[in-house]
Amino acid sequence: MNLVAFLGAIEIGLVFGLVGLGVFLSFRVLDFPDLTVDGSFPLGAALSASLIVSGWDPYTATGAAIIGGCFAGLVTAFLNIRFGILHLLASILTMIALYSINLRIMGRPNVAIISEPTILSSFDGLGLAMLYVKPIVAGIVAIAAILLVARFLASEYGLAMRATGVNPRMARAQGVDTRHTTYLGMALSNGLVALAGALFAQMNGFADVTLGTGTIVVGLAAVIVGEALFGTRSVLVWAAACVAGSVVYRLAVALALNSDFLGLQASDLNLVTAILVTVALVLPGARSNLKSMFASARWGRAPS
Amino acid sequence: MVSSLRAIMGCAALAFGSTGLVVSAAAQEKVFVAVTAIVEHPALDAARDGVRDELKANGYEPGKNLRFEYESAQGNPTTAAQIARKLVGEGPNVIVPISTPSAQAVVAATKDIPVIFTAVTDPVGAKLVTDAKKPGGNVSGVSDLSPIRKHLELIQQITPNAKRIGVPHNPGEANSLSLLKLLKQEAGPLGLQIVEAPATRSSDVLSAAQSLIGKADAIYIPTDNTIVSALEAVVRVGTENKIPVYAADTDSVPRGAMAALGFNYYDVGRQTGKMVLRVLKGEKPGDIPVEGVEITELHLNVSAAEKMGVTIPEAVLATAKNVVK
Amino acid sequence: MIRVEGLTVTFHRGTPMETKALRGLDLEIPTGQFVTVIGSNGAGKSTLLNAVAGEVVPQSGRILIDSADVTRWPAPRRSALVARVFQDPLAGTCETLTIEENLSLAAARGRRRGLRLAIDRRSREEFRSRLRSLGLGLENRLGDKVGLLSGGQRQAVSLLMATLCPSQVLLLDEHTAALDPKTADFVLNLTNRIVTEQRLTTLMVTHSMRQALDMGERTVMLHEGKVVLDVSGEARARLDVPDLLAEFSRLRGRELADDSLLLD
Repeated sequence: MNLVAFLGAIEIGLVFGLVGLGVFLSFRVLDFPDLTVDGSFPLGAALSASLIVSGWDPYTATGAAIIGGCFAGLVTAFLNIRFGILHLLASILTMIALYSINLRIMGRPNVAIISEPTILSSFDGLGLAMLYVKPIVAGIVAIAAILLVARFLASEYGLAMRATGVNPRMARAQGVDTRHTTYLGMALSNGLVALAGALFAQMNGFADVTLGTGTIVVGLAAVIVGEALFGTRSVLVWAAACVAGSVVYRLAVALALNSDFLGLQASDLNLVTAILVTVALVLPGARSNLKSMFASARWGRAPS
Repeated sequence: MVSSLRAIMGCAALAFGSTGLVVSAAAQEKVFVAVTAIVEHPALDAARDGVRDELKANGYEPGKNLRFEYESAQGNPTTAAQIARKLVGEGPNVIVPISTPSAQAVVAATKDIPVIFTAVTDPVGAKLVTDAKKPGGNVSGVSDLSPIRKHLELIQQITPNAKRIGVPHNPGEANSLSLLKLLKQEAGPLGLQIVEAPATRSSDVLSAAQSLIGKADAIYIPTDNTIVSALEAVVRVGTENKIPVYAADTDSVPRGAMAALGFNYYDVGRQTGKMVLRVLKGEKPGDIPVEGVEITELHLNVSAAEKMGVTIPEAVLATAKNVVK
Repeated sequence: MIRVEGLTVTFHRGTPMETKALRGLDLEIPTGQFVTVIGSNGAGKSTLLNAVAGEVVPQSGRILIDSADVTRWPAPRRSALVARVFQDPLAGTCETLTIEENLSLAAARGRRRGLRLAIDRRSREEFRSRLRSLGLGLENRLGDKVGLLSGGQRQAVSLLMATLCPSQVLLLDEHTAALDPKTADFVLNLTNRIVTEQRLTTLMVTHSMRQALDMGERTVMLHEGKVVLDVSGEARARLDVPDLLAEFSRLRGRELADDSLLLD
């Protein structure tokens, strides 16, 4: 692996670390299996790219992308809570709807912003090569997101949200409006994912309607790999582990892309992903996490 | 936290450990051409092979004096971005991205390494170049935009009574939408009308084609990956309802389309290879205008035409490069 | 004070599985009274508790706590007035959260939860001293996940959580049923102590006749969704377990007579 590929893996890993954090909030904190992310990631990319092309300031455009993602999460939560549609199905409905919505937003399947101003343009004058600027910016955003998420989950409201995922009946008995916490958690989760999409579009110069393919798999892989390698001792460690897991995942992909290494090639990518996640799952430290995951992630659970 | 740190360091060490391997392999005096495509696909693979063969025909032998590397993103734009970084980091003489997302990822990753894209329909719209005639910078390439006007003229030549042309397409494919726009532009002056039939997945193609029954006199299949992958469904609708089916790519003709005035991606690849050779000889991509497809060829399927109730005029048959009986 | 008037709850209404859990139940409990509730399976004990807690919405009737009509209040809103300990030790706590996090959740019951840190040094000190009063050594395990505790320890923590902040009503739903006899005794003593100290209006459902007579000051027997026995004071003091059992068989005999319990 060369330096450019290494830094590229770090950068993309950090950006997808935000997806990992989002998936952590939905799957782990709220126990809400949410596939909306496959739509909210390209939504963030589509919104920010289209707004930048139409002359918006990149920061405002990124903010709008986050709000758009939050809204997507709210729709999934609404379908689940208001109409009692199963989590998974509700999120799939939002996800497929977002495909059309993303096309509408962009007006075409691909919007290029290679030559437009992005949030990276603010760092142009610093004399630092783009090669380093991208991972540094991604790192700053990821660390800020980890700290904010961890601080939020340590708050009274955040604790109520965690209780919602672990034991909703008990949470309600303690005065927690579990609908409220679910709405907010889903909004936060998809807001983070949309932010990731917005960053990805700006760092790679384009938004594409196919950008969402497999986002949930990558997000879950980040969470599972992170948990296995770094543990879940505290909320801070857990949140940081999700981002670190994403970086490790990207490094593994970069290795897989390196056909000179172990004879692996691009077509082995999905195999490498599967092996990596499997190894993470069977690592000794991961056993208890694994067990609790299958004990608590009841995908078919009746809507609460 | 100690164990966590150790894990990160381990990964980093592993990552850099393999750096040595790559450098030693690239250290020899070789021309290095890196090719990447968004997905494995017969047309895109043919383009890649065309590039390789053109280089080979001009004395660049893969494995001897040419390092020819190919990566596929397996349909995932994020992977395409990662592949772009990898290739840029390896510092090849030329990078050849095949398809729009791969080209965008590569162009975003380098401002220095020459990039010769191929199989990109609308390079200006994709912001790969600002001006197709004078690209400037480090990017040029070959556009695979279909010769739309010629296609419509072919339809008029074979089936003069067809006025309403049904176009199944995937509204999610960038190329298809620009093709559709062009089709509409060109159809008007020729007195034709375009009827849209959108399908977002291969499994929707059949019902999209069926929606054209009674609404279209002929069906035209653009170079749309989704539709082409489910071509047989469209052919079936055409055969059962006597609607002639035209295609934009010649590979579709043996599969049951009646006629195609196309180009094959292998030729596009060869054409791209010629451009790569110019860059290897020292020309700057910025000085090479973006090219359109040069070689077109008419392919006909006579038995398919019969099933669709069409007799192909002798004059047309005579110009065909290939006729399937 | 709790007043329940003509409470009717029917499950699976309009289906072959229709069950009338409560059939116009009336019950009034003055402030500070400790009432035990007994009855056979399906008598409506748990449904009554769920209705008071707000987890079940009645088809008709009213529930008043003090002077407020809470019949239509959702469970979270009602939690400001009603605290609850479940039968299943797993149900009343969050097993993947720590002891102090569980206590913090309970400490915020009945008020708005903000972005303030859930646990600070002061609250931690208070939790420590409350836990110390249990005498289980849990005050040194604030950061342990509740999942690591035994069933009895968890019920003790649940009880502490239910009484951490003032509430009008305490609901105990067979909260010792899942415990071994020794632990059950411990939890019962703890219950008595806390209820007496805080003068809580308490409704305790139990499967044990002994507990029903020993605990509290009034015993109510439910049958087919109605109150069939309501004793306190002298009359209750004269009652013994065999009397209650006799009452049970009398009811059951009547059922057998009208063929409604043949499938039991």
